[in-house]
Amino acid sequence: MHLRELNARNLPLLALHSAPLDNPLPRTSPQLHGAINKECNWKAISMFRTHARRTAAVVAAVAIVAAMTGCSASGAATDSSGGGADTPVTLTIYTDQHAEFVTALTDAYTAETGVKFNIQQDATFGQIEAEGTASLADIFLSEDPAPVAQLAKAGLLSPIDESTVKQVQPGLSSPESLWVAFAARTRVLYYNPNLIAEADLPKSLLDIVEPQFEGEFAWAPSGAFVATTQYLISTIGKEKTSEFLTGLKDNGIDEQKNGNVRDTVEAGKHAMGLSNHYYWWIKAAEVGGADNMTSKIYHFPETDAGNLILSSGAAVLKNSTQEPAAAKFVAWLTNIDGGQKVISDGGIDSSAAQYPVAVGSSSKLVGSLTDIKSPSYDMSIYADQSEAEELLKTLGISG
Amino acid sequence: MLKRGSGRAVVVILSVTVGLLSLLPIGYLFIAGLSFADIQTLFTYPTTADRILRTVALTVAISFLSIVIGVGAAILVVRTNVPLRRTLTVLFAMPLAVPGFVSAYAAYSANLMFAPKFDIATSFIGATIIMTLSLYPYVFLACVVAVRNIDPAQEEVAKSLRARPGSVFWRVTVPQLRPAIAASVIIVALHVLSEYGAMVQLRQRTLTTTIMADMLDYGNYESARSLSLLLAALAFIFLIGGRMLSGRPYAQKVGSHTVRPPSAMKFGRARIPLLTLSMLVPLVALGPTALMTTRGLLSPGRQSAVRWAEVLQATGATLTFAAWAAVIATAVALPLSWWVSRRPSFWSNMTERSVWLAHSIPNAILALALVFLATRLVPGLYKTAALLVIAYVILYLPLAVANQRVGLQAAFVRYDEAAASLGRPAWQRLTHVSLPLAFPGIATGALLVGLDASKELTTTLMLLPFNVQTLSTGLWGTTNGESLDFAAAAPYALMLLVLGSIPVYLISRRILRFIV
Repeated sequence: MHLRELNARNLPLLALHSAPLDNPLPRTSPQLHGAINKECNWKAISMFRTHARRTAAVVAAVAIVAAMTGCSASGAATDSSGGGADTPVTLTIYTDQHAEFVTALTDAYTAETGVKFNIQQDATFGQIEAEGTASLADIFLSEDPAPVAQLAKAGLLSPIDESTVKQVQPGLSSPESLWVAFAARTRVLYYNPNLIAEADLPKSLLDIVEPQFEGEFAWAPSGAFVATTQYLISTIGKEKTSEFLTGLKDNGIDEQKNGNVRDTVEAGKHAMGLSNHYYWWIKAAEVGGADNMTSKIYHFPETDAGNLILSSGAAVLKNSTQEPAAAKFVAWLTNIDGGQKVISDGGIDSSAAQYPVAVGSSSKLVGSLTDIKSPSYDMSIYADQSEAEELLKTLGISG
Repeated sequence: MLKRGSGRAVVVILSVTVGLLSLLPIGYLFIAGLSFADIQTLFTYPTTADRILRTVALTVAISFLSIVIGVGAAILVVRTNVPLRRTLTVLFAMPLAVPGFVSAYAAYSANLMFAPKFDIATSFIGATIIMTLSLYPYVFLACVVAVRNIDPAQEEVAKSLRARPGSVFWRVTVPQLRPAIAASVIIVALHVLSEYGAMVQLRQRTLTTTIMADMLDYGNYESARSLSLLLAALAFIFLIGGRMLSGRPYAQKVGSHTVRPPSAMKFGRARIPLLTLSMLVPLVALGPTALMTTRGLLSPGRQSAVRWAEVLQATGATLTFAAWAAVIATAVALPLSWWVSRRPSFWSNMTERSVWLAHSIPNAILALALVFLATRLVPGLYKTAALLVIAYVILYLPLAVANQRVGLQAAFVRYDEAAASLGRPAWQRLTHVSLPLAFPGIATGALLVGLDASKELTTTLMLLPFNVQTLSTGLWGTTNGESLDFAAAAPYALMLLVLGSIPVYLISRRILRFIV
């Protein structure tokens, strides 16, 4: 740990001396350039010396710039001294949740407790797997249930305290308490009222493949879409899921990404689009408020796979050397007066328009999760999505 | 003092070491486990043929179009009397300053803004054009120098033999450009093969997007590794193709005179339309990015999202990492460039090619490979700036090697021999004769490494030290992993453009000497 911080701070020096490329050239190069500068009476080729000087000047300039900016850049790195507490704690979070959202949560916790954070953005199960026992992660905060379910299945997680799990609405976390939900998103249908009336929208997700909607809707084979597929396989079976997906592929337009689905419905390219709820809110913030949006969010009227709730999960890694501190953070994260308050009360930048999940919590932006008519199911099914993968690939639907 | 032979041995050992280190990521594919069954399974899916075909078609189309635009633009600025040639040169090189995924996002957003009902940016042709417009400068920069070095005497001889102008162009001029075209188009092709962000945004499903989906959507890493091997094999075929394109060595000069500047094609009234037409290239390449960035900066929403202090910090970090990558890649590449240009042989060529292979697998796989290897071999380096710089060096070493070779070709061996005859020792000949003469190529290589490193995203995300941002990752952080929100991303995009235009300007200034 200390070595790492030292390295980050002393980058300009270190990169030169410890580049493990078994190559003496970087080390000998200062002498090399010294030789260039040395007085030389070799007049026959003195014309070359302007080049040589320029080489030296450029190298020197680069080194100076690197050294200067290196100092300022490393000033931003964590400084775990200070803090005031008897033993300053720095927790390492691996996350694939939205960057601003995670920072809002960790900043609030730092303000309350003095605990600091190292944050690995865009983390994947693959990175932790590749790191093996050398993994630095104490905590994983996922966007969708799949990564934490995978980590749980791989036996890499420590169980979460029962008291922590009980703070959260039932049915959203791992049944074995290997991870706990700390936020949630729902699948929704976006529609453009200029192109289709709310009354004409399909009553269920499975109805969207009906002939009257042919060519009218967009979808994207994102992670949440794969999750929906896995859910459908586990409930209505492979055959019916395959039928539905074929209809989706034939009648809808694959826009590849949820953000594209949102933008194309908003722009009037498609009447409807299958996506996640929060992308709409992010766009709303971008254009200065929900009132400035043309498109609208539609929740299917009955309990429906089209309203599927997907938990964002918090997990503590078995490999962590700071389990008590990590567990404490997760307990705060799921507490209605802790992390949940940041999600409930925060604007779009700090909450990313996620749903809070604590019992009795409600977001001032998107409302309460209890109003969403999602089927209740075990999200551990996402630990192994090979059925969905195989089906989607066989049908030729894949990112 | 090194003996002549032992000096060469050191160069060979260093080169081979660098070559082997470059192959480490490919080795990782085997160590971490892959299965040929996965590749076999791939061929049972209905879309696979389309994806491989699309990958090849995009690579060929973008490479071809890059040659057309790159060579055309080079001839325009070096060998015609079109006005504003120097400005044009800088403008033609400028698209290099924009990361591929940013220009793709911008083009897509502009498409949605002005023609929401039409699939322009996301069609095969649209994607080909957008990608070409961000990659052709590699060909352009190499060809400006090559076009300038064409010996007009050869064309004059051909004309005196009553060859028609078209036939002179194809049979005399173009063959002399082949080495420059081949070296630079390989860079373009490998970029296309491993591109992820831009391809997703432009709705092109290639082998690389399939690999990324395996990792990100399905968590199937073994399949991702297996397909990466397939991609590397494909890249190898393109590398061989590039080698063939470069052709046999060609007679450089007629007689023993020094090469004169080539004659300029005189255009009369056609000059202005020609200028307007050629201005279209940088305009279409940079217009959408400039437009969306400006709109983003002026957008009323999300004022809070602009934190200039963070943007400046990210700028500093980006500059530091890129500068170190440039310096170290230059130093590491030199022995190899020296070996392959001074002692071309089967082994030196194979070593040089091996450096390119790491360039062909998706950056995300390369990053996983480095995570895997670093945590086992040098755990102290993991999540430090040093490892990130090493990753950049492995990724962009080919750019350094390619340009150093061009530079070393300008430093004729006979100058070195002349110095030797004056009794100068080897190291002095190196520091006083060959290196200064090769300097332009070496500097261009370093600047391109720095430029590409400052734009890199995927590897940076995984290896960046904790709590540090670069401009690319800062910009990515505002996308919420989906579409670019130009209101929040604009400051990062602006700084990337500013930062990127510095090396682009330095490189074009270097070649402006060739523009009369």
